[in-house]
Amino acid sequence: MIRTPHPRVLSVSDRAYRALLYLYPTVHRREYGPLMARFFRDLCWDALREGGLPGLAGLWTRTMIDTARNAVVEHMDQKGDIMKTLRLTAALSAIAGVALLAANALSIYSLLDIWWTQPVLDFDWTIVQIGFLLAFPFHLLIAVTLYRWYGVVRLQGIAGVPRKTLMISIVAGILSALGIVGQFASFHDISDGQPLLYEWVGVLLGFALVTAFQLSTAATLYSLFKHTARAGGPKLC
Amino acid sequence: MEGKDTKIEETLPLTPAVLHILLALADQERHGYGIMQEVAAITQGRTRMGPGTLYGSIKRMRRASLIAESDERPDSELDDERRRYYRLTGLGRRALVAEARRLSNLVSVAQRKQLIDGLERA
Repeated sequence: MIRTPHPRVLSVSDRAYRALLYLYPTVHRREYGPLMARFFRDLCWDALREGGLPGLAGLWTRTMIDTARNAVVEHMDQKGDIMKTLRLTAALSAIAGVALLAANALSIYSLLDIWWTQPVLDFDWTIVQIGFLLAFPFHLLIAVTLYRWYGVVRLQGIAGVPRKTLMISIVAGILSALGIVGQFASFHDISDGQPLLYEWVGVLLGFALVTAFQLSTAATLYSLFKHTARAGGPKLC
Repeated sequence: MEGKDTKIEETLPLTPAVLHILLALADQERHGYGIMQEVAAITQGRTRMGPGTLYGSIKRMRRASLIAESDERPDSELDDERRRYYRLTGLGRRALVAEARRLSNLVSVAQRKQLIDGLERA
């Protein structure tokens, strides 16, 4: 059994280094902080065993320089990552927003056209089905955008995100799942031709869910775009 | 294959810290402290990496796919479970070989220009 040299000094040194780790960005500290602390403890153990307290003092001098230099490097690295993600998210939000706007305009036009110019039971189901199929890529794009947004949240840390934006995103995520289920239900119900009464309920429910999803997504996209396109980017920690 | 070579070319020349870490991992998987010990041995104690330099380099090397975290662990009785082990990836090994060749060519040039001789190299 090897005896630990200067256990009290080792413990103080360990605590001091853990405090020093707060100079690093949060994400880096979460991922590597415990490993760095463990590594430093091993270095301290070696320094004390080989050089005693003067050896430890030498290690601390080198570590202060190492921390000062690398904390700055990590902050700059982090800033680069965040800005890259933010730019991509803002671009995706803008594209998804325009796509959503086009899809909704087309849907409204189709509904007006169907309800006001044709008898109710004489729908052109093919057009409606094509509309549904076209909506799927839009939803996929929105899902990708929301995924990128999750990346932003992960990089910034939850504290860097406005609470309102976060709540809207969570609601949009839930409604997104319901909306896709609704869309599948509607598509299934109308695909057989003329719908029966109970099938109408399914179609209307599907429409309601999809509309709720689209409204919440539009709000999220707007919020994302506003947040991510903001000059200067978010706070880093 | 050309794409892979282009990717390796982009990583060259390697920084001293990256080169030392790749060299340390060339023969076996190691954890952070093991890497530091091997680097100290390779450089006869002249290079001492601090925690910031080591883990900053590891982070960027993982991002560049030069190294990866190892799934396999040594005998748990002999080692601390909280340690993470790292290994070279295929790309990392090719980058290391390419860098070694580049440095070897530089040494050959230095020899031709009689800046160093075989005895000094040894």
